[in-house]
Amino acid sequence: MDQQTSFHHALFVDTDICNGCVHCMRVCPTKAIRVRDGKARIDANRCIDCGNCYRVCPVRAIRVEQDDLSLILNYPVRVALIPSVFLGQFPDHIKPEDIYSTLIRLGFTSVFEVEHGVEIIRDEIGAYLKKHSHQIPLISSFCPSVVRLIQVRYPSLTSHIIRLKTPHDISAIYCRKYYEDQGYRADQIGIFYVTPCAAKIAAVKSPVGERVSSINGVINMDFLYNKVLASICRKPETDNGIKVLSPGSQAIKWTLTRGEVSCFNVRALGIDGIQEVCNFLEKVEMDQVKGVDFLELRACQEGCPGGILAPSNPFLTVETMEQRAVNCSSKPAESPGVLDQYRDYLISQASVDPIEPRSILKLDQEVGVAMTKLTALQDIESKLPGLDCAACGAPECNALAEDIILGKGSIEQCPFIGLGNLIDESADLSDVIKPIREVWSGKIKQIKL
Amino acid sequence: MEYSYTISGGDFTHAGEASSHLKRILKSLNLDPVLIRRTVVALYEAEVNVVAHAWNGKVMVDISPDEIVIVVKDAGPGIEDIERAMQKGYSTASPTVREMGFGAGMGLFNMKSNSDSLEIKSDPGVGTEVRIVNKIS
Repeated sequence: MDQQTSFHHALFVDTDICNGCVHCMRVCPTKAIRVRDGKARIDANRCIDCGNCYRVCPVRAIRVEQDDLSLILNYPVRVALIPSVFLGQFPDHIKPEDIYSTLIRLGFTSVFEVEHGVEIIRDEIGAYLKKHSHQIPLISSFCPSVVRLIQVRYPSLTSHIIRLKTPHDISAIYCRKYYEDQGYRADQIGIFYVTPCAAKIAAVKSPVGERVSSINGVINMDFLYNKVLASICRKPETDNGIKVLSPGSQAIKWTLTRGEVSCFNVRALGIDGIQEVCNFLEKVEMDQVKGVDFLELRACQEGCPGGILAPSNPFLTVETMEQRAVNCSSKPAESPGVLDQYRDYLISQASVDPIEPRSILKLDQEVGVAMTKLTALQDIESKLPGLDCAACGAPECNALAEDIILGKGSIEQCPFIGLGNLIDESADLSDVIKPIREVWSGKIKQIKL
Repeated sequence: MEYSYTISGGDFTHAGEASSHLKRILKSLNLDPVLIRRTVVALYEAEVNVVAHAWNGKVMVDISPDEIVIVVKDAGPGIEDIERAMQKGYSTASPTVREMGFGAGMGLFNMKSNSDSLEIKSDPGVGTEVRIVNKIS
């Protein structure tokens, strides 16, 4: 099967700002970043949009793309599809009603909370867990970064990913269907998802296991948060009769760590943080995790409140959301659920295609060739200093060795090799400096003390 | 390509280091994920057996384009009745070992079901040698 060579990513490097400091390169869980010409570069085949690079960049050179808010004006129907996490960003005195009505004031024609989709998908996951008990542990498809991580680093586990859409897909499909039934044409309906992370943007723009997303555009949460707060500050009175239909208490907490796990009466784990997720997947791959039915794995600590585009402190957000869930459960349940009238239709739309592996770990398609390359790689690695200093523009000595084998780097990029060659006079100074200059460009300069 | 690893008896904390390393190697060779999984599971079970029962051991892995050959050799008590030890659920593990989540009597059984060929030679009181072969198709 032909593998795609490029994937849509929401993260990119602003090369005007990047100073090649290697912070991002060191924390990338798929070793997707290299420094060339003194700037970080992201390999599109490896990037999983987890946002680790964004978190650590000291100069904010890692950027997240977003659609222009004015795009919404292309549609007569303009739905703001907001996750509960968005409401959790605001201080207590700003109520969900205030936020909903401010979004209307900002130009949306309606506001719909993503977590209404949970009422459909929760039952579907429950049924899926029963039906596929021979494939345990089954892995939630919720976090798009984790899905991509499994594709590239744990390809043997792709068949464990639950082949169901996530609540935001279901809610988007619902909104589309609802307005179509109201007499609008498909091209008149604009659905805009407000995202807490980069991975969800990538998931909308190049979905895994489905052809097109029902979502027309993505608005970054931090951007909209500023807009809403500014609008409320300027015009505090917001009461325009908006009624907030709150999702149920389990649904509100779905995006928090253990939010999914707590809905099912099976043996399940909720793991957050990309490094912890990697550590655990290593064990799963070795068949060392026995008897666990369901894994909820999230790239961000605390789940979506820890997303890179969620501006508030994640722990405060979690507390705010839990408080709202408590308040909701004390009210009588919305019955029937908001999406119930379309339940059968939504269930018919809930499946996704099998998730294909696309390993980044292989050195070659052919086993024999890969073996030759691996032998050469290990030989090169044994010559490198093993400091993982990143001065060659690769995150680790092993990564440089791999780059060399794959024709993407040269051993002369390692300054230690260069110095060694100078000392034994097998190279002259200009030979040593040239490859290092190619990595570091203007960063290598004479400093007068 | 040859790799070797040593195993210390009783060191459950580090059991699985050989199989983790081998997994990385096999992934870089673009082998079938099912084959990789079978091979590392078989080796992991062998490692745990050495840790649980023997004093020390050595793992030797030889990868060629046709097959992966794993030999795990230990100095230990050996196996009295190999036939019986191969049965599902048969275990001689002490209660302490069982409490640690090992010794469920699945070791040799899992090793067999995850390898194309499994040979066990044992000299009671001296040690055991396990040879696992998985074909690369």
